[in-house]
Amino acid sequence: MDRRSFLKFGALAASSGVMGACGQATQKVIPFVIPPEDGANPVDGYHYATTCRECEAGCGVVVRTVNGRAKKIEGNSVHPISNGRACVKAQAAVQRVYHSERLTDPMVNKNGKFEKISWNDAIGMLVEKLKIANGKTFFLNNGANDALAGVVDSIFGEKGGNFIASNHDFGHESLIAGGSSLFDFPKIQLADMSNADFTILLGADMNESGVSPVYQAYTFGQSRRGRPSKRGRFVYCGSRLSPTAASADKWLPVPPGQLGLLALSIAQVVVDTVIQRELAPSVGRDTLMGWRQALNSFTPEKTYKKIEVKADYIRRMAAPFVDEAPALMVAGDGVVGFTNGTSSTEAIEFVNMLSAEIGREKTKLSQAKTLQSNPTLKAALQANFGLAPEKQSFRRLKILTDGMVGNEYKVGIISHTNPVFDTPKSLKFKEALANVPFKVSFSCFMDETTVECNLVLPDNHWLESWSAQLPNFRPGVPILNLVQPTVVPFLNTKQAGDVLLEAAAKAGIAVPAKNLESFIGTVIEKNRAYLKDVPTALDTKESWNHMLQSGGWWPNYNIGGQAETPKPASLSAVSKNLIIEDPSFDGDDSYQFYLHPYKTAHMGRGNGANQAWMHEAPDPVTTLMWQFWIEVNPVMASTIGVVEGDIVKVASPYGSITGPVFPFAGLRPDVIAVPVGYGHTKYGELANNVGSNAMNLLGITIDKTSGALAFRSQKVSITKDKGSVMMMRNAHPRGEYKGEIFQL
Amino acid sequence: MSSNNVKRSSDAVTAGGHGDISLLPELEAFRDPKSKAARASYDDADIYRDEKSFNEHTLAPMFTTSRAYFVFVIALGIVIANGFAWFVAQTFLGMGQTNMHEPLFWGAYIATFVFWVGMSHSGTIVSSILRLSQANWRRPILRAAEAMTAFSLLVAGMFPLVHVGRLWRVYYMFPLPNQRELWPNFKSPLMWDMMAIGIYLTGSMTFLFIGLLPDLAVARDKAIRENNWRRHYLSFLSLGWRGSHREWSVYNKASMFLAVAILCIAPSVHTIVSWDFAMTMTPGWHTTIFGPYFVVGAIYSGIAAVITLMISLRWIFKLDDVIRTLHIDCLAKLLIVIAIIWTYFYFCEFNVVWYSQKPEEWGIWEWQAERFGSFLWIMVGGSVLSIFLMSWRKIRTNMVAMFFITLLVNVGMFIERYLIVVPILSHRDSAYMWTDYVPSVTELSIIVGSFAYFVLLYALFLKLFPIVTMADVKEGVIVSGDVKLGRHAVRMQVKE
Amino acid sequence: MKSFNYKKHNDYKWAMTVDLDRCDGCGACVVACQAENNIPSLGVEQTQEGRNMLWLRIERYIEGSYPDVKVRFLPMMCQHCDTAPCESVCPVYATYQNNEGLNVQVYNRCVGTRFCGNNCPYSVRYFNWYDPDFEGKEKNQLNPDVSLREKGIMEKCTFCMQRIRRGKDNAADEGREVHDGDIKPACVQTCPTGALEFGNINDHHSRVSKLAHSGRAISLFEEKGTHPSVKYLKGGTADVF
Repeated sequence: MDRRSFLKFGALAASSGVMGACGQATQKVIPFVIPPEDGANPVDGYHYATTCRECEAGCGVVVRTVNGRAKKIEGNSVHPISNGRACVKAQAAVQRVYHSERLTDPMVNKNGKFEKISWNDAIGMLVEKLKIANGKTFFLNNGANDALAGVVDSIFGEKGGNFIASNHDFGHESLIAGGSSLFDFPKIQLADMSNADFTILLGADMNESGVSPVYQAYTFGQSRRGRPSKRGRFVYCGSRLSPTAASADKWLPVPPGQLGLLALSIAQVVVDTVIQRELAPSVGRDTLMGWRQALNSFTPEKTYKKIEVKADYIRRMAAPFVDEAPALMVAGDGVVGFTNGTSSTEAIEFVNMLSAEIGREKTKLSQAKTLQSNPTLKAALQANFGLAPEKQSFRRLKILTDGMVGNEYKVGIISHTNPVFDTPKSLKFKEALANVPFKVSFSCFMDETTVECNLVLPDNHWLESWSAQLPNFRPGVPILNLVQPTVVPFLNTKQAGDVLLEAAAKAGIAVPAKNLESFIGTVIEKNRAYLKDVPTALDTKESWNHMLQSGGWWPNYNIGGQAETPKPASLSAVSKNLIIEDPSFDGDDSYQFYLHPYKTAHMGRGNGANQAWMHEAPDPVTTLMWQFWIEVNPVMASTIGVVEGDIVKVASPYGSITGPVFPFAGLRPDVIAVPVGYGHTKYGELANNVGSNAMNLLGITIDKTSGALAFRSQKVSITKDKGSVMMMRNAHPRGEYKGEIFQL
Repeated sequence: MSSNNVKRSSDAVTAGGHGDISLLPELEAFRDPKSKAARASYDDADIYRDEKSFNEHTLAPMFTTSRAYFVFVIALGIVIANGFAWFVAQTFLGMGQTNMHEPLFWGAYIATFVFWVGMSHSGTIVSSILRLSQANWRRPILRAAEAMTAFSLLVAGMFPLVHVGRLWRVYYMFPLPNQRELWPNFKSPLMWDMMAIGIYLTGSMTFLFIGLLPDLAVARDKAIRENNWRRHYLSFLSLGWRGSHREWSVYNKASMFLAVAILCIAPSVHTIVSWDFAMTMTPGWHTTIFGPYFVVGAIYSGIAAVITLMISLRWIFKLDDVIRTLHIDCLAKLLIVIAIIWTYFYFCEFNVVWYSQKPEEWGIWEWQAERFGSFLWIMVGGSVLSIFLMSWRKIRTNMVAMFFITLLVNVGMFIERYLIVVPILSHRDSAYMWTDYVPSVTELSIIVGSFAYFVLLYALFLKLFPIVTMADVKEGVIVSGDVKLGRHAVRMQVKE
Repeated sequence: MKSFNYKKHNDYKWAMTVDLDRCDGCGACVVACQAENNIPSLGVEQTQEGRNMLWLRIERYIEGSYPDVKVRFLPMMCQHCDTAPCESVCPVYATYQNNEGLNVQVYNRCVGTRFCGNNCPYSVRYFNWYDPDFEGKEKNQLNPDVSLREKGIMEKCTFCMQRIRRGKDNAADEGREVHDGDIKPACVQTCPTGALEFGNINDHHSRVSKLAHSGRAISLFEEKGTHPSVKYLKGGTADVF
């Protein structure tokens, strides 16, 4: 190429570039950046109503399925508990269905190695063992009141050395016992806060340890801003500033175990005021004077030393309970974690009842048109879909463990619970389990308990299962929840209830039905007359479909509409119960700190630990992700000489754990808070070796009244350990104090 | 070839600025052959060398290659290959190979990008300013400075490619005609930036090339004479330059025109680069001072880099008699001025924020002081220290001292770019999202590779093209000479 | 039969209100968002790098010290600003304002300069540093309505665009306008306390419109002039009594 042609080409290129740039504007600019509105219609799929089984609150949910796969779980908007809402566990449940570590086939444990076998062989093996056991079988579930529990109850019952127990959330026994002494109803009293103008949350963490996170949060929201021109005020009392405490208007750091005393102190002020003002409650003046007598030693001035809340403040908190504003007290984990849990709960419910009895406008706070309005139905449902509350206490789990040590059982059936991991190490459940010759685990995942079993039978996820369930608390209305398969099982799994029924039938044990679905159908058919709001004129099929469509059965209701305040069983006789013993703690003087183990909304008792979403969603208070931590008060942290991320060792007489320290201003200086659910060893890739298990620290301290584990009664010591780790926090440590930039 | 020079000396001679009588003793000394050597290290042009030996001398770095050179180039190649391998890995694996994270979306890459764009500023700006102001001492350094511009722009232009998430879709940023009639968004400062850098790169490349033409011809003649392999591309690139009068006049016009054009483009380029930051609403970036501040910063780092480079060339290729102490001294004086202006701008930027104490902006300074305190000291301290040191002529003419001072200036300027990008993005409006950042191995390797790439380009250039602006130097020789004024010989210059 | 021209400009202007007095920081919205929008979990290593992919995050701020300490939650998602700073700086129009007030991200167009993320005062834009890792069985859960994003792309909250389109389609099929409450993004639908509301702010009878025009409503960083579509409803009184 010579220079001239080079220049020519250059000129040509330049001019064409210029011409191109100056070309005529086209008629239609950017046609496809905005997606065509009538283009591909998003796939809608099918929606099925069912009931969430991630915890036992019994929220109605709707599952969206596309192409036979569950895609999304939402609240069921007609369900009285969920009101169309869902919590973090329900949202993440789909991830459990399609979890890569889900058990795919039945497996048998051969000297520590699991080998896949066929279902026929597996059931054959179970039948054979059941025959040999001939009684002497124990069944352990996660505290669910569902059709499976009912089936097991009717198959095994308490005959011939069989034993049924459950490993459910700690402390719920005390909530039940404390409430039922007043209400004669063996369910957790869960207040509907919707109408409350003033609520004292006593260690009641709605999200994490709450009985029903969704229901409580919903009523919380309604109270706060759900009513025109009224804003519910909240005071949270407890040792740790939980997310719930953060949402409250005021946090009172009351020492551990003294919340019942706080309630009684308020009761004292209330009774005193009622007498002074000569209000006329229905209980009569004599009872009132009796209470005054009984409460004499709980004046705010006298209790100040223990509860560390100024008398003046107690008086102000008590005022709404006498005045017009509807006021409420709610008990939670912070109350029942101690040896005085039951009596504290009683005291709290007493204040609620007292407040409702003072003759002012009924606030329908503890409303409940309960199942007891129809004793037959109640009995039928309770018997078939659940276990009696007395079969569910922690004390019973202890008895079971002792029995295993004493070689009382030949066969153990464990369903969806992981006691090796989530009961105190000092219970020695794992060692006891070794004494049982044959153990079956129904589970979706391999975990610390399943690994100890001889036979692993992979259960359907609840999205693939039939069941019927009764909520673990008492919402405003009677509710029977139905669980139906929304997707076909995509692995070689079978439902635990069906397998047990089949095996029991083959082993020659009388069974109530052929499978779980027909069992539920039969029970409902029998009681259909009582389930009034299901149109009885329709044939069975149609009413059954109607129930499936709505996700269960409950009377048509709107909040406050039909509800009636339950009759207190023995309000006038309560005065003898108005005593709160001091909480007793485990650990001598060398252990100076109170251990505060708490569940997080994401991990629960450890179930969530194998889910990426649960790790990835930051913890609300610490904003830590994928990580375990030990919370201490910043002042205490500097006393020990640690900064965030330094490894500390927390020790009790029963064991010790190590973990990185997280100084948190919302914690009493004498308390060390540890989240539970971490420290798995055999629960899959994501869960294993993340942190330590707080259960290693706990001793067995039991609330004698209810038989609940007093899980916050442990005293521990804390020392600095070697090393430190990077804290994976979502909030920057420097930025977290800069909220004022938002000028909210 | 080159015979034109002689002709031009016979043009009309007018007295230059050196006619002052006070210069006489100096001129006496100048004429004294004994003091010649002493002055040679400082003086402006070599008038005692004939053209041929001058050509040989200045083309020597191009035509003679030592073994050390190859070792050096291979070493550079390894560093570049390392950077390139990390870059390939980053492209295939994802940008996660860097340590960037939300909300720190720009990190060391962009800092380095700005640094290289800044480096590019001195070359052509200095060259065109000096050309236009006809500073006589400029002559030998022009080429080296212009080449630096071109190469640092090439290196800088690489960084957006390294930085984008989807390299394979980067053509979306070009205004290519397409079926969907989608054009780039000209509202985006990045588009301005791309345009500006594109124009600047084209302009400075042309500037470099035009300036090269006469020298290419000299080299071509030598290559043909010696049957050197370079003759192939040299004869192509020299476009058949014969040194005719018309060619020279076109050449002069073209280089004059380009000098003016470049002088207009260059400040706009770095202003636009600064607008990548200043046009956002990010506190710490969103400030009107950024335009001039960046331009000055660019010239600052650029001049320092030119000095560093000159000293290196002088040392490596023994070009003491071409690149003289005079040049370094003059450049250093220029550097002092620019350094003072830069420091002033920095002070302005700080002062406004400090006085107003607006939390989101003052917060960034506190954050910087806390987390990048030592960096801040190197940067500001280095600048002040260099101004202080360069005030002495002794230091200005001390090559070793100047080498380290200018290096310090550029380290400071790299830090400055890093501090503009990193602390501000790690301290955004939403305090929850504050973050910390340290570049990853990938980023560091690519950045180190970019430095090696620059040096390699320069090293190759040295061997392929004449590094000394021979024509200009010779012009300087021709247009200035001793003229007898009465009893005294006086240095005279011809006005072009 | 589509009698309603719902494409007409300004028929809809989607907006969200966040009641800070109701939010209890439970995090249900965060996981709901991840489940609905096929947001990958990044894992431990990525989290250590400081990366996260929370289209909706709950910012937590601490005020004061023991015992008068207050912890506050602030749900933060894309604010869908009317004058969005992210839009003007994108060199390829990968993000733009649609005619319903949504700030839309076109994944296919994005080249990943990440300029938008720098210019977002709320820091709600997230970048795919790696290809999302949906291996094996987890694929079964992916929402077919939402595209997966490859590495090198910016993404952010879309107000659940797919739900908005479905809601409008359903309404159009029935020949009506979208009713208040027809369309709920995943976070709004799940929020147990009812802190989040979503709707058409151009409809003066919608709940979101009433809340957004109540005295409690504020915009974050109002001084930036971004005019967000997300309004925050201020918290309650300073103390209980």
